[in-house]
Amino acid sequence: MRLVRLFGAALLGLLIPLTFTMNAAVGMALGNPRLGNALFEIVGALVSLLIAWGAMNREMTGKIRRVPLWLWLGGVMGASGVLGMAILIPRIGAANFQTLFVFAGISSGIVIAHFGFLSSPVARITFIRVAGIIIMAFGAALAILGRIPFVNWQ
Amino acid sequence: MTILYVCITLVIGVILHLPVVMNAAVGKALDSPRVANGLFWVIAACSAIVIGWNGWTDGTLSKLSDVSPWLLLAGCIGATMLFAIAVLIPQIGAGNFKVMSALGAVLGGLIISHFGLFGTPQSSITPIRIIGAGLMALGASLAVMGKIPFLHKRQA
Repeated sequence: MRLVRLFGAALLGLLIPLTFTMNAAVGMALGNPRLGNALFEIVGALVSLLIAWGAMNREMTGKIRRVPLWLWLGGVMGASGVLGMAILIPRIGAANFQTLFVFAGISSGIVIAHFGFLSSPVARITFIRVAGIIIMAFGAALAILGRIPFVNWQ
Repeated sequence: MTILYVCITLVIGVILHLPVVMNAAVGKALDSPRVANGLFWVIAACSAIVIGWNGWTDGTLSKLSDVSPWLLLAGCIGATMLFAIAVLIPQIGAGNFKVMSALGAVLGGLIISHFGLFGTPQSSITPIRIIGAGLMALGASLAVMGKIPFLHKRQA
């Protein structure tokens, strides 16, 4: 069962580039990535509200008021980042984009965890974690270049 | 691929990691990841509308008929995916999820580029690229878990 769930996580990961490439395709078809991105976010917001509907109750309004205002900036950052994807994917390709994106996400994740930023569980940066980032960087170079970097066989 | 695009992509990778953490923090404060996620998407949609408004030109919407309606499902997949992630993480752990989704995302990107889907640049899958994806998964596993996978210390 656990293996099925792990496989499910990989499948969800597979959907990430599909979603963002579809968003980029809408931007290309419209000749305007900004409008494509707005349509993507509107559809996403409607579906998310539908999913959240059952969890809404009267206490929620008070809880929402107590959330620090700056935390809501996450939504703005998300929209800007997704727009950046819609502009970049047609230029550098989905594979290159995803490889660099995953590398940056995991690397920044271990820094956030090291400092316990935003009350995330603390996990100190260790030698093994740094070795992992170096291996990831090498793997990313292979995936992007399609050859071993700095080695010319010819 | 220019260095500029590489740098911008790395910055987006870092920037987009923060909203995920911020969304989780709001979910904890509200005791409801579902509501936090819904509100985040609403704020994102409002921001995207403001950004899109500035780029508005006459006739932009006339091209909307050229867009396949099923491409607009991307927003639907994105929202459902985030909900599925919130359900799956407590069952397999955040670390396992990060590693497996990273592997899936890189492989997904390779497949899309192999076929040049949706008019994006084409680059064929080669054995070296697959090895690269595998090394990324191994590296992600070490970085996220902080230990060598499948190597358990025997307990006395």
